[in-house]
Amino acid sequence: MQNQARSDGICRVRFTAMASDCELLFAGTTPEEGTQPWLDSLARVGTDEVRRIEVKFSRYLADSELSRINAGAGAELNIDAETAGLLQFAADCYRLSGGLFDITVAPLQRLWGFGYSETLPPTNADIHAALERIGFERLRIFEDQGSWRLFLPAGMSLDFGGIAKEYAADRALLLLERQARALGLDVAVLVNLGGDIAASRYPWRIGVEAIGAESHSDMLKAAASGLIEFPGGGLATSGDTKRFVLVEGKRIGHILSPKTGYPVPDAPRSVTVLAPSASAAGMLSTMAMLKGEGAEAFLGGEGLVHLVQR
Amino acid sequence: MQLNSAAPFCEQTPLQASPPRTSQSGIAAAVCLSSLAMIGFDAAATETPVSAAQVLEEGTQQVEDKGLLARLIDGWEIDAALLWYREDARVQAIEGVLSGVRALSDSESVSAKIVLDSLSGASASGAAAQQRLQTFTRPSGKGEYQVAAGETPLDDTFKDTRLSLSAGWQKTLDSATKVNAGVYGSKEFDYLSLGMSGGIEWGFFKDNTTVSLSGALGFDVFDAVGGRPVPLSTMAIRKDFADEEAFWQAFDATRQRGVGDKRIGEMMLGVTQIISKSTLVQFNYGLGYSSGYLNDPYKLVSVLDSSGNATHYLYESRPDSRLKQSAFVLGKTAFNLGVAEYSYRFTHDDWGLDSHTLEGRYRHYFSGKKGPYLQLHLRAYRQYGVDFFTPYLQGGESVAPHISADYRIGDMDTWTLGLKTGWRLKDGDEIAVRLEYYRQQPRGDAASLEGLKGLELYPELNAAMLQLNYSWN
Repeated sequence: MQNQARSDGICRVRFTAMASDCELLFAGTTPEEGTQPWLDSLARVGTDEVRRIEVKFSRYLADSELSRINAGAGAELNIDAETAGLLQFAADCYRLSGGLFDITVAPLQRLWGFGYSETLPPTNADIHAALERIGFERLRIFEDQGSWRLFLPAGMSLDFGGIAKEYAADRALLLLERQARALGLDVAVLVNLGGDIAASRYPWRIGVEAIGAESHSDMLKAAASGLIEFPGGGLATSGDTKRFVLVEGKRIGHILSPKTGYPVPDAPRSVTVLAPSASAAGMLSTMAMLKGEGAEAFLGGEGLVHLVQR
Repeated sequence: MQLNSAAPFCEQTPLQASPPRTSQSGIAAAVCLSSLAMIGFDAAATETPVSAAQVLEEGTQQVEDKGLLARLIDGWEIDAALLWYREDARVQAIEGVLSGVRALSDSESVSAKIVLDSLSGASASGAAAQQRLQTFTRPSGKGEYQVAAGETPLDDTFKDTRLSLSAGWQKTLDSATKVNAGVYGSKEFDYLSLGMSGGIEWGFFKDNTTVSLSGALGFDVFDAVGGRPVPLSTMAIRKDFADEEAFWQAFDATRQRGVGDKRIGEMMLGVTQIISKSTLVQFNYGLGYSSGYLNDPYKLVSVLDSSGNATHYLYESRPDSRLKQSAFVLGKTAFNLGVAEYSYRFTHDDWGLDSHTLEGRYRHYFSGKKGPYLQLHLRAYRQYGVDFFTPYLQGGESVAPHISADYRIGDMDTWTLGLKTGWRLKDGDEIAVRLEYYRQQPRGDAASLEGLKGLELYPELNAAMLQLNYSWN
């Protein structure tokens, strides 16, 4: 995504986190051009929060909180309030999607082998074996004298891949706005983590990459310049842009149905949704992908501003 | 951090009035509310955000308690293999391989591999068998070894340990492009090899077609025991000289100063095409060029008199460049409970060596793809040797600029028959066992010379190999 700046100045801070190119934009009353100390301190608050969430919930860091939880499968574990909050959100989404959105789907994803040279699809027997180790309803999350506890059955594991990045964008925005208020600054902030965006209310305009001819959009109109109006809140895209499964050398979407164990048929190439928060936008775009051919009907029925590319 | 003051904004269009929106089921609203509850959680810890550096520091302190090994292999998928190889009466080898892959993200991974080989035994030196005892000088010049009548002369000082290290990186850029890069290094007693490679893959037509292009560069240094022989010079043998000094003078005259080096460049163009849900074919074309020191410093050619008795031995001589081409076609078919893979390879080079390889593998799964399997492997290989291959020279003939009696670049047929089985343990780890039998039959004209009657000029070779694999998942 690219951003244009207003003549009254938009300051941009670029950084890398969560294996994505990220940026923070500050718009509004900008003091002198250059390296204002307030901007540095603001930027640090945002990047630190994103990195904190990354090291806490990454699957790829062996000493992350998530790795600790997964290593403790089969026993009851203490979890902190933040992790409990994410699990609560995951539980709501599991229920609201009728079981299609499930953060315990990792065994299935491993079976379909992302991005590596798996050349043959798994057999039915493999899929059945994997499905036996999946199912959010088998988790137990409960509060016990003010502290949260989680029971993760043996053989199961959690993956916050579908939540963490959008959550980090929302959290960074929240802390940035808080910090800006504390400093007495009147700025609008936009946090962009590799295309998952959370922003203050402000008439942003965002460049969207490669809108195909086959896109179906309700209200989210791209101008000829490729710019769209974004009033703030959250914007997120789910799709197979960088993640897919190779089956017999053929790439199929990374959206797997935890019900069938197979990739969702007729899933769109990508779904972009606008919502009040990046987490909600990300979740609703994922749910739309999981609906397969019913993606547009779902988004339209929910009255969401969206863009579907097939 | 980079701060960029941004370019001027273009004229803003007023937002269009939108029709009223209503949610039919309230799912979106519920998701939004739930997300706000999650974001708004606030433990005291995040009121003053902990810096990532602090978190990482704390993390490493916790990790300190783990063993060094545990820390090193965290997050890696490790694969270990041990292989025994044995030729009848010749070379024995034991090889240990440790390899690992680590995902950095859904689209990026790194891999590393360590291989340790230990070879011992003897390999044919290229000299012809005789009806009497033969004496050869060792490569270092210090001492000699003898070969009994009727025996194929072997270079008996063949002992080596090789350590190879390689590392790779793979990344998926977008749904149609993948890139990879790698480095490689190996060291053995008299040989150092360094290399790097890179490749890119593109998908077309909804990825039913994949095109790949890859290249590699290598640099090898040969520091032969006792120096590299001068090609076509005569092996100095102690008994032919009056004293030690005269011998050493002659021996030194057969040696070149310094190390030999070799530069290698390779490229490969490949196309993979999906034919149906269960079948794919792959075509590859490869081009490789090497230049520099391409001889084997330990290989000889016997010079025989008219009755077939060896009078002296010459060190082999090969051209200093080689251009190889290869064409490869592979098919793969998946069945309900098995996979078949079959391929044909043709290679041709400007030394005149042509080869044809037919290979097939069939793997049968007794239950799902992760269950136990049995795999059958068959391979037939026919090689037409280089133009300058000669099993021996006859005295009085003029010597060509390039000669070699190295059976490995002569005419030969080889067959491989292999079985492999593997299964998964309760905790997800995998074990595999492979047993292969290999037979090599050099081809050549029968000797008409008196002195070679009844001798095996083209000795057969049989070998067996056993490999054990263990994967931690």
